[in-house]
Amino acid sequence: MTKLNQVLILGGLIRFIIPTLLPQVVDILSSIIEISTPINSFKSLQEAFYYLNNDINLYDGGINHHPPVLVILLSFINDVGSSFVSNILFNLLYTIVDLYITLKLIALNKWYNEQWKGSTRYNDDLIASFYLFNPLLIVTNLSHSTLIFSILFIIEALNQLLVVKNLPRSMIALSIASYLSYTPLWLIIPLLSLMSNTNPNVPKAEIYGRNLGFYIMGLMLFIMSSFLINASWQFIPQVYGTIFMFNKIQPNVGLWWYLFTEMFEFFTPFYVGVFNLYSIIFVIPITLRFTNDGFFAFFLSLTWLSFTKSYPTIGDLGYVLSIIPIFKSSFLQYCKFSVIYIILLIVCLILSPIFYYCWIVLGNGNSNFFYSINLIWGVIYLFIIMDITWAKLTFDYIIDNEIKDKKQVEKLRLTQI
Amino acid sequence: MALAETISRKIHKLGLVPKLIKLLPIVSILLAISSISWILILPLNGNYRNTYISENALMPSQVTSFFRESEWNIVRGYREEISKLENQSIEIRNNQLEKWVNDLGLVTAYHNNGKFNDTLYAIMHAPRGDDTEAMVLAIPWETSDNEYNEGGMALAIALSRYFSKMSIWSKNIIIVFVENNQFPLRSWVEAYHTSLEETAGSIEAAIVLEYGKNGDYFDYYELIYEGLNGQLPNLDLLNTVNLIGYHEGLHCAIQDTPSTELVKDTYFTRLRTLIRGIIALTLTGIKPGGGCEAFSGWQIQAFTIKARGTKGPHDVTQFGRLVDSTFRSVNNLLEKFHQSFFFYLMLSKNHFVSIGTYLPSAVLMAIAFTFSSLGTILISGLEINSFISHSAKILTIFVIIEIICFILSLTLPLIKVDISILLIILSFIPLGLKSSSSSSFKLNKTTSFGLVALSLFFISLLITALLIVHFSLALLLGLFTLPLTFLAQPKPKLKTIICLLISNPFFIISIAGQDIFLGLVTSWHDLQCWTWFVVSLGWYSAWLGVAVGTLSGDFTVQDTTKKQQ
Repeated sequence: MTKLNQVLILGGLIRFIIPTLLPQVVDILSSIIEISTPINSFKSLQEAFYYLNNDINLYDGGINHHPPVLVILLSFINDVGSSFVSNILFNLLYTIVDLYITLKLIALNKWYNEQWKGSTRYNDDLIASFYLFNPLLIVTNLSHSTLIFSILFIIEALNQLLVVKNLPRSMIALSIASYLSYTPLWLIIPLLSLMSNTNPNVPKAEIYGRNLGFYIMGLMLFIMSSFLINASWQFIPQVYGTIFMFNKIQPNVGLWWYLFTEMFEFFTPFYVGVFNLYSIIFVIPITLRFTNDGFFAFFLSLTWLSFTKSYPTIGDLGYVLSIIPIFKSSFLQYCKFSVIYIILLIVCLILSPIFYYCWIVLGNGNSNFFYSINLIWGVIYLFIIMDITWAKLTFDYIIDNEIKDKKQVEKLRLTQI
Repeated sequence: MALAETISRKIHKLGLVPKLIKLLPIVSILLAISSISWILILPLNGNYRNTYISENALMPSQVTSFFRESEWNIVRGYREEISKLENQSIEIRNNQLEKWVNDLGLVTAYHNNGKFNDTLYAIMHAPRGDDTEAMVLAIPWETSDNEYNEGGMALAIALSRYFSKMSIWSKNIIIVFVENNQFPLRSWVEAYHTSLEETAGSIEAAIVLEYGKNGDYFDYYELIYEGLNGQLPNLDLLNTVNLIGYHEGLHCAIQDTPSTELVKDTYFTRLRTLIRGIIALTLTGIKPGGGCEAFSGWQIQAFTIKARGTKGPHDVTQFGRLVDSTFRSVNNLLEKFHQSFFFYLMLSKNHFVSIGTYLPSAVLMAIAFTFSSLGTILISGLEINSFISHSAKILTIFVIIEIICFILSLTLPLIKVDISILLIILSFIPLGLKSSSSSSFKLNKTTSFGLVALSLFFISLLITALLIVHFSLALLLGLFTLPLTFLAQPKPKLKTIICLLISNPFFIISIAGQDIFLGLVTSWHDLQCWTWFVVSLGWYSAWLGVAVGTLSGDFTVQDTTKKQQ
């Protein structure tokens, strides 16, 4: 058995065996606010199944924020048989999704590192381990968070574009991701840029026009079918409105909730606008600056969006961390701060639940305690974004100026690029 | 960015980084020393603050308490009757008390805790409240000094009689007659929130009353306020009772202040109170305490007051007035206690340091361990990459150690062996590893350095995790394990052994005594105090990691300067 197969089997077993033997793990993890939010929690999904089976409108009561098509498709699994069987099927589904993402990451890793001549990439088994044994992703998977599906389709969009080289399918995959959780909508910008990069022979206008068309078609198809299924437009405010307007003010690892709990209500619309704008506006300059390496621009945009989105979980950071090793042959060697943010990350992961416990259970702490850890969580993101951006710029500088001597590279001390 | 760049260039130019790496062990020790000195400078003038009432609604001692000499005879009468019950069983005593409080119009109920005698409690439903909040007055039959609590019981009945005549109460009053203030009280509090039929809403504050056979007069009162797992009652509540005591002209002792030094306020008295407070908070639940710790974990602010001395000049009704006035203050509250401090260290009854001031001390300790861990890796003279390639092995060993400790942590409370046996098994045998297993079980250099570094980093994380929830434990843990950081430098074998021995948890517990050990292992089951798990899963596993790394591996530092030449 190859090492890769070993990793895949072990990673798969962790994801399948644990929730099968200990079904309560799913319940416990999906109640932890760092791991699941109202937008992607499995509990509210189960509530939605109940509504569906009892002919109640999916969005009555304001519990469910999952898009209708996802609820319908997953309810087929839920209705298969007894709860035991459907639980096992769910475990299997989540395991398969994670394994599929792993395989696609491996393919992307091969594709990306072929670009730079004479460089080494991480072996397939390492890339798989970085994904499958990432504790943040294991808990996200075990909590059966629906976040995993939007990541699946984001990775699939990249895979279709770069490995399979089927542009329409790539667009459709991204439209599904956007349909599932709104935020990936903005990844269309770096993805289109990446498309025109990888297909230099086709005129830009044609690429942009045609693929944007595919994207909008895909999205419309899903929206319209949701309308047909649900027989009302209620899902728009409930699914997307909640994410966009931050209607459900519940603590999570992000930066939004605290401000909206403290704010006078008449300020809220303004700050909702500012926060949303802040979240998406940086995607454009990132894409413009890194047109030479569209994959990096896409990744950086994904990182930025998962940093600034309204309902982030620790899983969002987990995906970012598991994708970084793909950049081994380009800039990874110039990253300097990894030790600092790994230590910060560990401290954060320990203190965050403790502070939440002090606030909610013991009552001797308050929301400031928990939010201070959210701020550090933000600092970790900023460190990562800063570090990889600077490393990438350094790498580009070395390539552009054709510095080949390793000693010269070591001596290189850049202050601004 | 420009400034950062300039500084980083300067650092690079001067070659500070390699110099700093060489100095890491010293930096680590310096940090540990500064951590301790931070605690020592807290009692200096200017570093602490005077207590103050933060919640305006409390208004302590703003009303005249009418629990005065007129009630004295009633207290005396009840005490006379209660003293007759001393040799009776708790059941008979409870029946008598139940009759009395029923006559006053209070609802009574029993709680069976399955281990001790039943607990009687009486509820006075508030005439003006919405029946959703309550205050508790708990009176153990036996005080924490194993004395018959006749004065406390008599006061409680007389106070109930007095309370039931007033119409100002907006919070229910629960009076709990409990066998002692350890497990039975804890069990009652837990049952109140989970299974009891007769309840009276969420408990805002609780007072445990102890007035043994002091008679009619007492000298001063003692205040105990530590909760389980590092929790403390809101400082406002303590300030309230202290202010009331001040207006009554009573002296207050906290942290076992001797009666001769009640009014003394010098650096050394403050330091003594501070250090005793830290130790007491760490040992709450392990050593029998005042009883207020039974209320921990349910968002209840609680303290214990004890009467001390028999000569006077203060009389028993004044002690009752402490309770009455405190209840009147708490009765005023419209919200839960949230204003003042939940994290503080007392220096005297009216001086304290808040979390922002004392926290750096434990933070410095955590950083000292992180630096020491980094220093262990850097001083080994090995490549960082070799550590990464050995990381799986290092982690496996550490996980095995953790599993062993986990089994120990579950089995030791069941078998309750003598501490001296444990001391030999759990601390001397690992120390003997060196001679016995040199051939069969030998770690290579990278693994042993990696294991030591990981264990030290683990302690650092442990301190960080406990920093807020249980500062005292974090600080003491850091102090006790500090000798482990000295191992990073090349040292003679004997020093290694001594350093390891004095930082072993079971060695230190055995010095503290068998009672502490028994309290430690049973405290989780009886009181839900998790200190035992911190000791067994945190402290001992880290110690074992360091011991295995230093003794059964190749833990020698090559002289790097020689190598370079």
